[in-house]
Amino acid sequence: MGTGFEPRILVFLCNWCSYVGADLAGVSRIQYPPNVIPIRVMCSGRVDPKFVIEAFKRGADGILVTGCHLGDCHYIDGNYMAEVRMKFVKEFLGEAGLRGLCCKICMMGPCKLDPAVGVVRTICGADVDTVVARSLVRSIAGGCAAHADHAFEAAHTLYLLSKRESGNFPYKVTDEEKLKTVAKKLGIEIEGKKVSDIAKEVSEKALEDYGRVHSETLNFLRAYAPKKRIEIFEKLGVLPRAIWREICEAMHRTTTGVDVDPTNLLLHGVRTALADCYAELIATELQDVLFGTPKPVEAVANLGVLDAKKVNLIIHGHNPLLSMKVVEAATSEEMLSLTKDVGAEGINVAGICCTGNEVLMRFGVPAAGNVLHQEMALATGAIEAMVVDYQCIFPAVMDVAKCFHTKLITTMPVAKIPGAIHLEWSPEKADEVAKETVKTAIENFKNRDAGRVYIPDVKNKCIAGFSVEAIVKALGGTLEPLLKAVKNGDIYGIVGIVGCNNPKVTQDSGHVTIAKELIANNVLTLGTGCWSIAAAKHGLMSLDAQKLAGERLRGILEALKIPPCLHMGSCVDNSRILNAVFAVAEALGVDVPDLPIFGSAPEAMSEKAVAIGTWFVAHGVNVHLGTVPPVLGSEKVTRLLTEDIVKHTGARFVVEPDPKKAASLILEHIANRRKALGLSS
Amino acid sequence: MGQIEREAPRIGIFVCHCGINIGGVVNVPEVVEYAKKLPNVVHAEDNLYTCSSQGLGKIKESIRKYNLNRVIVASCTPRTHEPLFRSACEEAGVNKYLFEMANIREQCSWVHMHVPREATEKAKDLIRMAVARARLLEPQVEVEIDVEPSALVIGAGIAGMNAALCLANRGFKVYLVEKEPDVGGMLRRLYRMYPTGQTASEVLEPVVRAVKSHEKIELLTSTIIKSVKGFIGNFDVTAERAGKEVKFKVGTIIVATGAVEYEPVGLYGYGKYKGAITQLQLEEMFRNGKLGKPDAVVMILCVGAREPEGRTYCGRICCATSIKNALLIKGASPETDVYILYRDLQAYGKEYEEYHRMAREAGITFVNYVPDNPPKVLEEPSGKLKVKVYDALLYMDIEIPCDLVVLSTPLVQHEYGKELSRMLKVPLGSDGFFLEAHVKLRPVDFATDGIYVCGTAHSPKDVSESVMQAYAAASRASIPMAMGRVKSEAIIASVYEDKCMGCGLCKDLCKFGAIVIEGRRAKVIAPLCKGCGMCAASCPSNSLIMKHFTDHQVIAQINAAFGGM
Repeated sequence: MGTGFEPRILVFLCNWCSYVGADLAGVSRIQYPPNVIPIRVMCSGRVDPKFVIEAFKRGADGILVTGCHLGDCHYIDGNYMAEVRMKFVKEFLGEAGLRGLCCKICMMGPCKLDPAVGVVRTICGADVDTVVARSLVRSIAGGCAAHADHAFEAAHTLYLLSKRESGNFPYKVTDEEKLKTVAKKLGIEIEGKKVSDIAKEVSEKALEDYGRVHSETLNFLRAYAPKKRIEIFEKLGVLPRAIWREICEAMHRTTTGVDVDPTNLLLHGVRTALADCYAELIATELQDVLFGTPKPVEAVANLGVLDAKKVNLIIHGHNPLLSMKVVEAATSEEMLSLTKDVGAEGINVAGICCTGNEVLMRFGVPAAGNVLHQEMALATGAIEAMVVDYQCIFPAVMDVAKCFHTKLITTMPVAKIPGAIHLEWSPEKADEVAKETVKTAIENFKNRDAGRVYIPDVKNKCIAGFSVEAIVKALGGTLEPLLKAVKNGDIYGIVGIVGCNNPKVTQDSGHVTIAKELIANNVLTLGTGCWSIAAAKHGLMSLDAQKLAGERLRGILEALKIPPCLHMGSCVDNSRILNAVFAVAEALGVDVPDLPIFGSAPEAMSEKAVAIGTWFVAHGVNVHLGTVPPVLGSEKVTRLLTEDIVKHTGARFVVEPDPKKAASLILEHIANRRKALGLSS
Repeated sequence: MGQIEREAPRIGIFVCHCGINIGGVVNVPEVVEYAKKLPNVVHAEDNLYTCSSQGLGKIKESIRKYNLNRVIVASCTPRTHEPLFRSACEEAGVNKYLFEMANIREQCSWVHMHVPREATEKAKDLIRMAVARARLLEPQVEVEIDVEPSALVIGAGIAGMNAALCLANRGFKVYLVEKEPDVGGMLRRLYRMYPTGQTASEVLEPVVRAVKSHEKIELLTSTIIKSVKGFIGNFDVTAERAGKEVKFKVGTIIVATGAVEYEPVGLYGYGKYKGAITQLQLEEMFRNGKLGKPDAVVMILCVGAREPEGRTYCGRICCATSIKNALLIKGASPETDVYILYRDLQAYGKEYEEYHRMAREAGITFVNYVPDNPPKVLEEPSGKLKVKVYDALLYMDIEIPCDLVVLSTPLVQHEYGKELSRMLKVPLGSDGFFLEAHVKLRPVDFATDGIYVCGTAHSPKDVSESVMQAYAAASRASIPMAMGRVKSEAIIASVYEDKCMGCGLCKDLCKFGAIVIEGRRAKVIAPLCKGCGMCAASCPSNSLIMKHFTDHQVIAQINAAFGGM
C-alpha cells in the first residue's frame, strides 16, 4: 500500500441511459481518468450482487452501478430495483466485514460502521479504530490459541512419557540429541541425568510457560530470542508472561467496555503474538524430540500420488501425534495382510495440510495437497478414509465424503464433525486409534465404485525436511558457507514464504509466482505450511528446479545438491525459520531488521497467519501479505501496522495482492539492506 | 447443442483507427499485436475505417479465410455501427449474436485524449474483456410470431371511437368495449367545446354514427374486460356482458379508458353549500337550461391540482374550460359578474391566448390568488355565498358576494383503470395515469409490446389532443397487424429447469408478466420477455439464464478487467 494509489473502478452501465451518457461524455470530449472500466448491461437491474462481489474479489477498488433516472427506466422499474438491491449489497459487504468495521462482540449489535454514510461509532461509542483493533487482537488470540493448544499436547505427551520408565506407552524420545540441545538452551543441567529425567524437566519448563503465575517471561523466549529483541520487547512492555494468560487477557480486553485505546490494544496483540511464537517453538522442538528432527527426504506431491490400486488413506490436520502413529500402523505387516483380503495392493497414506508436512518431512509420506485440496482429494472417489485431527478441516469435507464411499474419521475431542466416525485419540490410546483408523479404511475398500474413480495424473518430485539442523549439516556443519554466499551475493537474500491457501487467490498462484520471481533473482526461499506443499506440487522443491534459479544462486544449489525452495516443515515450524534468522543475525553480528531477508504470506487465510505475521514483524522481519486483512476500515490501525510499527520493531507489514509486484518490493528491500550492510549488490 | 458451441472459438479482431479519432491517441498497431496474443484469437488487423465498405469487406473476407466464428470490432460505440457490423457477419455466415464490440472511441480515445499511453493500455483492457466475453457468446435465434389481425379498443369515448375507426378503416377487425350502456364517454356530459363553440353532440354524433355502422367494428357496450392473457399478436380476451362471458382473440390492444373529474369534497364549501359546484356540474346546468341569470359567479382554478404531493400535475384543460364557461355565462346573461380566481393562467397554444383576451374584453374579472393564502368560501345568512380572497396583484383582501362558486378540478384515474393496469400488466405513473414506454420516443406505446394508450387515460387532454393521440395509437397498433408477423426479442431469459426450485421470486419481480410457475418450475413466456435481466440477477439458485448477458459472460468480462483470462 504505497503512496500514489490509483483505484481501479468498474462501472456497470445500463444500455439505455448510462451507456449513452458515457458515449456523450466521449462526444463532448469530457476527460476522465483511464482507470475507469465500463461494462455494458441491458438494465441496471441485471447487476447481480455476485458481479459486485466477484469484481471486489478480483481486485476492483470501487464499483459504480449506473442506470436510468428514477421513474425513467426502459424496463419500467429495473433501476429502482437495482438501487434497492445495491443498498442491500452495500449492507452485506459491510456485514461481511471486509474492512473490519462490523463489531459483533456484544448483543447490542452487530454494529456496522460506515464512515461514508456518517456511521462512525457503535452503540457503545467505540469508533472505527477501536472496532478494527479489537477484532484484529481477537484474531491474534484465536491463532495463538490454536498453536498453543497444539503445542500443549506435545509438551504434555512428553511429560506423560517422562513419568513412565518403561511399559507400553505409545510414544518415546526419538531424538535424544535434540532433547539435550533444548535442555541446554533452557539452562537445564543434563550431565549424568537419564533421558526420561531430562524429558521431564524440559516438558515442565514448557508447561510452566502456559500458566506461570509470576510476571516473568516465557522460559522458551528467554532461551531462544536474541538479547536485542528481548530488550525491545521489554521496552514496549510486550514480553508475554504466560501463554494462557495472554490469550485470556486478549479476550478480556476486547470484550464490551474494557480496552478501547487502539495503540494499547495492538500492543497486547503483539504480546499475544509473541506468546503464539514461542508456543509454536515448543511444538516444533518437542515434536522433533518425540519423532526425530527432519532430514532431507525424497517424496512426491500433488493429487497424482493417490493410487487406484491401493487403499488410500488421507491424513489431514496439524498434529503429528496422531498422523505419525497412523503411518506406523499403515506400514505394519498386520495391516498389509488385511489389504490382501480386500483385494487391494497395499495401503497408500497421503497427507493434506500440515500434519501431511509432519509425516512428509520425517517419513517421505506423499503429499496429496494443501488446504484447498482437501475436497479435491475426496472428489477423486479413491479415498477410503480421511482421518483428521484439528485446524483447517473444512466442514465441507463431510458433504463431499457423503457423495462417495469415503469415511471421515475425527479423532480429537476438541474437533468433532456431525456425520463423521469419531475415534478418540489420547496419548495412551494412540496405537489403538491408529490401528482402528487404518482398519476402517481397509474395510471400506470394497465399497469403492471403480467407475467413479478419477485420479488426475499430476505429481512432482520434491525434497522435504530442511530443518535448521539439516541445513547446517548440508553446509558441512557450519553456517559459514551460507554467510559467505550471502556476503558475496551468490545468495542475494533469503525469504521465508509461509501460509495458507485462500480462495480469493487462484490456488497456489501467489505462492508459486512469488517463489519463481525470487529464485530467478538469486534469492533463496524457504518456508512452511501450505506454501511448502504448493512449491512441492509445482516442482520447485526438486533438484530440477535449480534451473529456474538465477545463475549465481544456481551455482550454490548445485554445489550443495539442494533445491531453490527449501521445505522447513508445517506451520508451527515457522519457529524454524525464526531460529534460522536468529542464527544468521548472530553470526553476522547484526540485529534482525538489518538482514537482507523478508517474510511473505501470499495467500494468507487463517487467524493463525495473523498471529504469525505479527510476531515476525515483532522480531524485526518485514512481512508481505497477498490478501488484505480486515483492517482497512481504520486508517490509524492500517498506518500502525504498515508504517508506524517500523519505529519500534524495525519491520512492518506490506500488503500487495499482485505477486510479481510483491516480489519486486521484496527485492528492493533486500537491495537496500545489502547496501546498508556494505554487501555487494 | 449447436455446431458453434462445439467448435473452439476462433476470434477475429478488427481494430479501427477511425481516421485519427482513435489512431491519434491509441497506439493501434501495438493494440493489434497485443490482441493477436490473446487466447482463441486467430486473426487481428487494423483498419483506417472498419465501417467503410472496404472495412466490412475485410471482415467478411477474414471470416472465410480464417474460418472465424467470433468477430470483435474495436472502434466506436455499439449504438452507432453495431447493426452494420452484425449484418456483415450474417452475410458471411456468422450469427450476429457472435459479434462483439469494444468501444475504444467514445469510452477511450475521446475521453483520455491527453494520456495516450494509458489510453492504449485501456484499449487493450477493453479488447481483452471483449475477447473474454466473445469466447462465451452463443448464437441466438429471433423467433417470428404470427399476429392476429384484430384489435381490442377499451373505452368508447372520443379517443377510443376514433382509434377504432382508424383501425377499422384500414380493414382490421376491432372489438370496441365500453363499460357504460352508451358510447361517448365524458363528451356526453359536456355542453359546448372551446375554442369553436360547437356543441359536444355536434362533435360526437358523426363519430358515433360511423362507429355503430362500421362493419369491421363490433361494439360491446355495458361490457367489462375480465381477463387478458397472452402477448403481442396473440391476446386472449375474456369480457363480461350482461352476466355472460364473451371471448375473442386480438393481436393488439388500445387502452382508451378515459378519466373522471376529481370531486373536491371538503374544498371551498363543496358538498357543504348548494352553490359550490364543479365545472362539469356547470356544463350540465347549461345543457339543462338551469343556469338562469345569477348576479355573480366565481370560478376558482387549480382546485385539488398542482399540489405538493399526490395530484402534482396541472389539470391542463381547466383554464380554457373556465374561460369558455365564463364567456358562455356572459353571453347568456350579460348582467352577471363573472370572476376567475387563478394561480397561474395557462392559456397555451395558438388559439387560447386570444380566447383569454376575448374574456377580459367581455368584462370577466381575473383575480390572481396565491396558494399560501387561498380563497375562502362562506355562506351569508341570506343563503348567498361570499368569496374572500387576497388579490396578489392589488395586495389587498377583497370580498365577492355571489350565487355560484364553480371549482375547476383536474381529471383523475378511475378504479377501473387501476384494475386494468394490473390485468394488462402495464404501469401507471405516480400521478395515477397510464405510463407510456418513453415520454418522447414512444409516447403512445406501453413498454409491453402490442399494447398502446390514448386519450385522457394517459393524461388530462382536450378533445383535439385526445383525437390526435387516438390516431397515433391506431397507427402504431396497425404496424404489427399489417406486417402479420413480429420478430420476438432474442436477448431474453430462459430457465435451467434442473436447478429451478420454483420459488417464484422471478415471477414477482418481472414487470412484464413474462414468467409463470408451472409444475414448480419457472417458465419464461418468450414473447413477453424484454430482456432486462432482473430475474437472472435475483435468482437464488442461479437457474435463470439471461441470454447474451449470462453470468459466465459478465463474470468473464469482470475477470478480464482485472487481468484474468
